[in-house]
Amino acid sequence: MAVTDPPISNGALRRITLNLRKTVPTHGLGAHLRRHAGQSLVFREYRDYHMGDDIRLVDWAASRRSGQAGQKIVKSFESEEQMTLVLVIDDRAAMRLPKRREKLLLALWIARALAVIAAENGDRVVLASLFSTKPPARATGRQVPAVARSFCEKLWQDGSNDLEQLPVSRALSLTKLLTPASAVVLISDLLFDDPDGSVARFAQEAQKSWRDFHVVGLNSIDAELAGVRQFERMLVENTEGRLFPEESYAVDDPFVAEIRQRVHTHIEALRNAWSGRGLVWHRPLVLPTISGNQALAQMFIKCIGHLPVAQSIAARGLAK
Amino acid sequence: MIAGLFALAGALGVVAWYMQRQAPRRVALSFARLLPDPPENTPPEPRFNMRPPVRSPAFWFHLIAVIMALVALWLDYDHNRATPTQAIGVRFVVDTSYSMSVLQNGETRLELAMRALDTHRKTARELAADSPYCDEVILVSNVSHNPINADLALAQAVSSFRGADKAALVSAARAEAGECGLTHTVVLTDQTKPAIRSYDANGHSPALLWHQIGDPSANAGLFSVSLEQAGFLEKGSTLSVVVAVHGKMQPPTLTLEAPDGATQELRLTQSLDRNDRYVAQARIRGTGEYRALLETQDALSGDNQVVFQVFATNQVTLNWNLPGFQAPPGAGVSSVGLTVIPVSDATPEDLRRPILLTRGEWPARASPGLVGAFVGDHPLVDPLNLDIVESFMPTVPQQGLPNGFQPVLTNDKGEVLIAERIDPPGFIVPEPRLDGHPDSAALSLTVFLSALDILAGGTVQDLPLIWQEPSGQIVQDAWKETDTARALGSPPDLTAPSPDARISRQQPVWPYLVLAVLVLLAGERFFRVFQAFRMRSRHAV
Repeated sequence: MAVTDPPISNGALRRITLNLRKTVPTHGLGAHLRRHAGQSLVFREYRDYHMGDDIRLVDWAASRRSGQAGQKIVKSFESEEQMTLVLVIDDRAAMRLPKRREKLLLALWIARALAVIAAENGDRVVLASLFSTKPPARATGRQVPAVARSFCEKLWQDGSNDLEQLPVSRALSLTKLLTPASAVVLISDLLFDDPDGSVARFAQEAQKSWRDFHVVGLNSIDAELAGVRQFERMLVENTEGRLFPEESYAVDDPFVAEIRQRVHTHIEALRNAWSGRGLVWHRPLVLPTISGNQALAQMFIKCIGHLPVAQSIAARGLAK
Repeated sequence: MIAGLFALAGALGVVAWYMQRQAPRRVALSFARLLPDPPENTPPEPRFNMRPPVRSPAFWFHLIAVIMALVALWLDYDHNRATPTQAIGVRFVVDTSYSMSVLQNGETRLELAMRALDTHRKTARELAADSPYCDEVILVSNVSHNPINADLALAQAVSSFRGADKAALVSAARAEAGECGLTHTVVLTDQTKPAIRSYDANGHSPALLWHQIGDPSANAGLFSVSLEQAGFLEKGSTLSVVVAVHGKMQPPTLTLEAPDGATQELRLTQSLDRNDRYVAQARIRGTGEYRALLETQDALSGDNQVVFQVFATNQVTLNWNLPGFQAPPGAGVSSVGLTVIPVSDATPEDLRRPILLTRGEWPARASPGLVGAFVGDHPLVDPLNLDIVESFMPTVPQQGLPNGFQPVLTNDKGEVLIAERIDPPGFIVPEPRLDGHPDSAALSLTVFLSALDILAGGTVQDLPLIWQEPSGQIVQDAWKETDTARALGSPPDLTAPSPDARISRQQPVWPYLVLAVLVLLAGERFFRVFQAFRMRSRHAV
């Protein structure tokens, strides 16, 4: 069993998908669905005849009912395009914290589960990393689980462990993955810096043309603070380009309160920078304070059936 | 004291350990980039936090563990642990003292005892049936030997040339059990059972079976010899020989052989206080090795002959320095004898030796006075008629007593008439007067000669004896073995232990303390895990 295999069986995941379809509200689904006129059996609208329209599409009865002589009304039909689900995973070294319940592992589990749900609906799935140079993986239909597994395993095995190195975003290179009918899901702890605004530009681009940009946050603040509150004082390792002197922090309540405030301010700044019509900001998932992947797995099993982004993907097949 | 100091040091060590401040931990945080700058130039904190760690359960766990470990090191205490059993374990305590060599129908008592042992073993094995069985043998003369295998004892047991008593047998029977869990202890001896219980107060000790061996057999033996030093008017010391006679037999003939080879037959007379004791006395003059011999054919031959040494039969010797008086007849005069001298003439050298000092004098005529208060009985005051003393009150000089002397008798003015020194022995008495009133003369002589007799008089001392067999083999403490005519009791039956029988073993307490220490250490670890789990649960999603 691979490390990144979601701690849930395929059968269980399929049952969750069916359940999500049943329980999803009819008015809120398919936000990522892109439709336009084309050839199909599904009626779209009546419109005036334009030069070049197929004369066979003229609805003569409707034209007669319009009351205007020479007025021709044509019937147009839906032209469905296969949706593309772009799963973008934050793969910074800091995502491998806290130890023994890594955020990156949870992100990979979620990504693979969403990929399987999307594949069940016939969507095309693209998996991409936000910071590494690893090329995106694309798959459709039955190939999705295997491709997703391969991509996630390599990301887990080959990803950077150098916490001190400043991560560089490759978000702009992901814009070429965006098709007219696509939805982007970013899975991240949202603690990275975006000094050149590349992630923000990618987020704005992903929301254009009625597309959606979903943000699934992973909150590990409580989990990490629970670990350090056992000590009176702590020294902090150099992180993401920031160097810390050999001076210790007193781990007390004011310190913890300040940390929470700073994190909140940072995430709000990201949200404002990414704000747009298609931004869907999901409630973040809070990591367990109990150490060990077992607790992380329990948390995943508990939340995957109620994840709003999973509901959105599962409901795509019922969209009208 | 030392244990207390170590316990205190250990406790202080634990307290100091828990009062240490923890060093800052280095941690990796995913939100580290958002942290404020750490405070600069913070003053270093002292190594120890002055707050006592009384609220730390781990501290109490460790403190108690350290103290219990030290107690385990120094505590020397065993507890009695009784466990139920249906198995049978027998300890045979076999008396191998000299009297066990007494013959009965061609067999010694020891051989009879070993036969009885074999019988008891078979009985015990039958009782044990399928249950475990074990046995051990302890051979006892006057000391106990280590337990040995029963088969080995049956093959090798021999009686020793030593006398023994019941205490050694009881001690061996009550000794701690070894690897064999005991349910029975069988004592095989020719001695009668002492007045002891067959079980201890809790009923957990092995059943004690006392199997007396040997029919009564008449025997006489030399019991003791004492020497009384010659008195003033006597020539030669008096030797007293005590003979023990047990069973139905006539007192045997006692012969004393002097160092010069001369022999004399002594007449035995029955002791006034015991029917089984006879006493003979002889006047001896020479020193050297004497031999006393009982001529009899009795059960034991090793107590019929003793050899003893007489080192001195001299008369009392005096260093007589009393002018106007002659030493008593029968006393030798020597410069190394007991010094008799007036206080005024005594030198410091004289005062460091046993001495009889004279001070003051008795009156020639009646001189009434009063005797002062005196306490207790004193051998020098007892023979005095105090009415006569108060009629002829001696005059004594107003001088202090030499060092070490304490008043025995004073007059009503506190003047000391008689004084005594314990070590070295000495007396101060008024100088005797023979030319005055007959009562005064008699009184003065009584006091003087009584003091002289106490200081130099004959003493009785028991002589160390060496008992020998006719072959010359020495038998130690043979007097303990003389009584071979004890009435024979019925042999005990070795029965199965009761259903609630328990094997009792002495076990030290320290392993339990060590176990408690381990439990405390494990408890401390468990508590820490529990504490961490609880803390995490509070923060769980």
